[in-house]
Amino acid sequence: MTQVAPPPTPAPAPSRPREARPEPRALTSSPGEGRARRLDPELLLVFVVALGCDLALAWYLAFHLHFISVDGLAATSNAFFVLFSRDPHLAAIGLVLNPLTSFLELPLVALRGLAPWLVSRAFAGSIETSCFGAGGAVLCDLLLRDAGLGRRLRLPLVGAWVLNPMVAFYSANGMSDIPLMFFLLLCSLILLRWLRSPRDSLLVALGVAVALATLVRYEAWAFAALVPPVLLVAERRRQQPWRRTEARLLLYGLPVALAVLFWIGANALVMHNPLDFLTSVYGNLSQTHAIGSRPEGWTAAVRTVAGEVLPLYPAYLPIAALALLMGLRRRQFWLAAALTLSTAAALLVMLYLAHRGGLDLLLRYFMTAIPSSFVLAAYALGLVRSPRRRAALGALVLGALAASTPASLAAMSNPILGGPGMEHAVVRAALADRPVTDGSYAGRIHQELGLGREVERLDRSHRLVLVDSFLGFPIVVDSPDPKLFVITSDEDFEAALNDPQAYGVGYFLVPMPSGEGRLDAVNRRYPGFWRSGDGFARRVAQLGRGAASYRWRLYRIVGPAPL
Amino acid sequence: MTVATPSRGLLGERLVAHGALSRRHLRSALARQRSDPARLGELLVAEGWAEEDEVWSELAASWDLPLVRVEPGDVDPDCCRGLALDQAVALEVLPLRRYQGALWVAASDPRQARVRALVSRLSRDPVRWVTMPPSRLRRLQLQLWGRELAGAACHLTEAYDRGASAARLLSRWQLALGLALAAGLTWGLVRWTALTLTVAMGVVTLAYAVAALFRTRVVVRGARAGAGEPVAAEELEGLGKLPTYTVLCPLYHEAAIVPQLLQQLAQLDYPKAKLDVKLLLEADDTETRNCLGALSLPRFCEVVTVPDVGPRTKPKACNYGLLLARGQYVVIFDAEDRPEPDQLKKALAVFHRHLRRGDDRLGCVQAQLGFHNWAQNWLTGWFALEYLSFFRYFLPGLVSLGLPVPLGGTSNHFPTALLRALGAWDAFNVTEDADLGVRLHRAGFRTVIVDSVTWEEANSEFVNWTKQRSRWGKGYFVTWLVNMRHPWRLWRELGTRGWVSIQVTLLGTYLSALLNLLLWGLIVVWLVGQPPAVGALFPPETYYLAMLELLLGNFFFLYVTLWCAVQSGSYRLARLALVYPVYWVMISLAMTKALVQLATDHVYWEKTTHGLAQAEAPRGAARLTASPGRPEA
Repeated sequence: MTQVAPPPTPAPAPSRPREARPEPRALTSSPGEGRARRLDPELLLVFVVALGCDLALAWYLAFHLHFISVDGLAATSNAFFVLFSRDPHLAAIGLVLNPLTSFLELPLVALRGLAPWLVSRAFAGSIETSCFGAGGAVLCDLLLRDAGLGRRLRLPLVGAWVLNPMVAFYSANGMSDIPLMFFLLLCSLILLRWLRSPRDSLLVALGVAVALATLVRYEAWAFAALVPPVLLVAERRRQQPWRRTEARLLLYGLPVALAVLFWIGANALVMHNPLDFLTSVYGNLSQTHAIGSRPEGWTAAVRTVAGEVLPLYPAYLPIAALALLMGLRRRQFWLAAALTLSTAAALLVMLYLAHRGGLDLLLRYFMTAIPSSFVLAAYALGLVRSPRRRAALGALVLGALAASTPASLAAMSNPILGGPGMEHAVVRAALADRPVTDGSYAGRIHQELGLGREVERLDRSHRLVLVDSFLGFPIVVDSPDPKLFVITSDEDFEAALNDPQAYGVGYFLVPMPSGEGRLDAVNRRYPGFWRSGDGFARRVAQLGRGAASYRWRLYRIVGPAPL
Repeated sequence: MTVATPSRGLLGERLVAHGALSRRHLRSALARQRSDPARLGELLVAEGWAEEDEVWSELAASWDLPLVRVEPGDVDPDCCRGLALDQAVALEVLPLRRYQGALWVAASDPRQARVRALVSRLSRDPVRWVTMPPSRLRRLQLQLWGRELAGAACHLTEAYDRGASAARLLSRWQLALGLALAAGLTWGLVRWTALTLTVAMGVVTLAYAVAALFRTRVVVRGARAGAGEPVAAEELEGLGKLPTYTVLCPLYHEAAIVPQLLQQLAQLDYPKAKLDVKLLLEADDTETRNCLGALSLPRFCEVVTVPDVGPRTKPKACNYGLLLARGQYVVIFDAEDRPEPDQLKKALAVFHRHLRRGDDRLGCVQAQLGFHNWAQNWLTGWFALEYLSFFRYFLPGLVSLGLPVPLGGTSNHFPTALLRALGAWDAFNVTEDADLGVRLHRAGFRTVIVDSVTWEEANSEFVNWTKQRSRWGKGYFVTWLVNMRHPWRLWRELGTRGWVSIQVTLLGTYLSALLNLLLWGLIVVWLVGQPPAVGALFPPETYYLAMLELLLGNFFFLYVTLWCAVQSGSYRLARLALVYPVYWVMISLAMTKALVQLATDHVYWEKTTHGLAQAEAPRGAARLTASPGRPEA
């Protein structure tokens, strides 16, 4: 007895269902999807031209002036240690300086075999920062375009970014300053767009951009903390319910929190101290204490910071004032104030350091005034409703920014302002058309780069050489056999330092214990080592001849280290 | 083809003349008949404007056929030999007995050609037709054939494809492979402990990476594609003649919530004469039956008791209901569901739209599910967040990528014939919905999501939630086993992407939740003591990938959850998203329980208690929707 009718056979299915069924079309498109995704020729042109300029300058600096920046090489060497040290691992990227600059260099550093100068001249870093500099130019263009500025004014303004000597110099030298500027511009661009139309997707982008920025430099942490006030003021102005504001703040804050917690967590895990980057003897604070200024009152601190910012970029203050004024006129003074404050985040950090003591008066620390000027100018221009007035004001801004370009050059070549950094030495060398290989800070690296070869020549038995890479990185990076060195990021560094013989370490390489040299791990562990070898090592040679170079001494371990 | 009621006006007039119908109701019925040509008699009964017996006695008179009353004992079972019972039920036909050289057959409408065709296949004897009111006839049919139909309901999937049912958990080679793997692993652990563990960890890390990338791709695609296929109001008005729609409501110990269900059903915006609602009760559920008995049921609702044959699962009940279904389309609603009133029409509009485009391979229209009690406590909040991301991003992403869609357990609309043809729900699978979704896809049929929401009650109590969740986990794993009986065939039918999709959505969902507990434990151990043994498990080859997964993977899914809350305007849930990982831990615990059940009884259906929601939050404002653009403020 049939219980149930046999089911009718379904229509034969296609053998490969995918072929028979056309891909269902997207049913609703997100707002961004309608927009053309083609490459904008103007942006492409700006990028290519700016990149060309920066790379040309980088080449000129590295191969004509033979200039290598200490911090640029330090960043490159961190990437180098990750790939080529005795103990290759990602944490070797170092936990004191923010990692992103080094991290992005990894692919280029990996090509060391093809082009050794990528590492030895820190050119990998130069390529990276040139890209960031050119990206910054694109962002300036976008900022001004958003503000409604026509191309005739826009492109010269972008030129004022690319051709600014500070921007150009740091775009070419592989340091983390230009990446920081890039991210400040990027975050501000997104922020300004969000202020114009509060789409939540922009907050996601903002959060991610700020998170990346915090991995570039610690100044960005201050920026990250000063963005929420802007969001809050904007939300208050729009009279949003608190829950909504809270949700939006979370959307912004979560990626930032992840980045910061990741950094703190990495410090906790690797260095066993969550605030190691802050309190470590290698940390910025400790470094600047070793060479930095004394505490001063708030007024004096303001004077100190202004004394750097004003000569470096005179347009900054007038443009900030313009932004505040426009904010006042358009009845959004508090928003303008919050925005001005957030773009000044890095300068506020310097102000605090000047007050607290420990501010190193390097021009580059005040360079954020340049991107801030662009952001605030774009904000102010965007508030002008009439196109004619906007164009007029734009011309005024262009005048101010253009006038600041020679001012920047003047500040750089000023021995008091540009002296503590490398700007003065480099400008002088460029004017005289001779290499930067003298004993100045800028030329110091050159004299150390060759030492690796010398150490290897002296170490006939090919036994391991322990050196604190905090100062010794140029020696290791340029050595023919980097695996010969036990460096700070090696997991057994601490143990080998305490008991070199047990770990097969044959030599200690130590810098003279003065200035930053006092922070060297060997000098800290064995305070009398430099002078006499502390009774368990015999001096083999003294290395380093240049006036500003650290003097290094190579000691052979001959007995057990004292406990 | 249905035969029109003879002298249409006449039936109404005669009923009015006999006092069985008021003139006002007659006018309403005739007016409605113009816009929706249901047969007048059915319309009057469905709306409750006239009694069925009286309508049929008038109809019998006009057809010139005897109206009979039959007891089960009057029917000769031999007459039914060879009869397709489910068709007889659908057409409301019942052969009674042979008498005086003729076969006596009762039918609610013997004039239908399909009815006559069905009977003519049964016997060459001359047929004497008699008529019976439909509800009486159906009741009699179920009394006579109930157990046989229930037996068939258990095996619909097996009838379609023997391997497609979870009646048997493991095929022979699956069992052999499983045992071999287990033995290999054990031997490896004993012999080369460290190596085996390290390799295992490497495999797990790699699998996680694949799963995370796949899920990211689907979610991102889903975010672009939009939450569901929208249907405009004009499209609903232009639907024309509406087909009969069967609504299956499986109930088990749901007395508390039945009144609400009836209210929801009454609110459905669909002609009542075209609604065929089946309230499916289990035989031992006297509580719900009594409750239903005490209520006056609307005419379009029929209480069906599922005989106690085979496993007592929701899919079996649904299959039983499906065998009795009269509708051209069928949908399931759970007891606690509150579908948006126009959902049936919207689903129908989507089917029609696809047919108009020449696309006859649309197998299912799934509505979105949302929770009405999301604000009750943290658990319901988390649950709501999970549903949001599932129905708003994940499922639309799968649809948009052309991948198999594991259906939600309720509010899925099917063409009845297709559902029957593809083996309906597997009575032995506890996530029959997901299983059916995959089976539809394998047969070349697609699922789309419609922009209509069914409000459900989120589980608000941990133990109850665990029961439900572990059932899902168990079911997903079983469904994976079933589909992997022939991995090669699966690959041929679905292609590489679809094949990977099955691994990730079915196996991955379950296994990752199970393994997470272990991996999180490892992380805690590592953070606390950094024992070298844990470090040794992760050589550099897997270490960085694992680190990336831990940081970015977990963050990404947490962030997507937050994004869902913000996008759907459920700003209150944003805070809860921050502690969402606690919910992940709870899921892992439930999956561990599922593992135990998998070994003991893979068919056991652990009942989820409904009606735990607190007093109703105001409609609309406090509801949480999976569809876009409904800000809370």
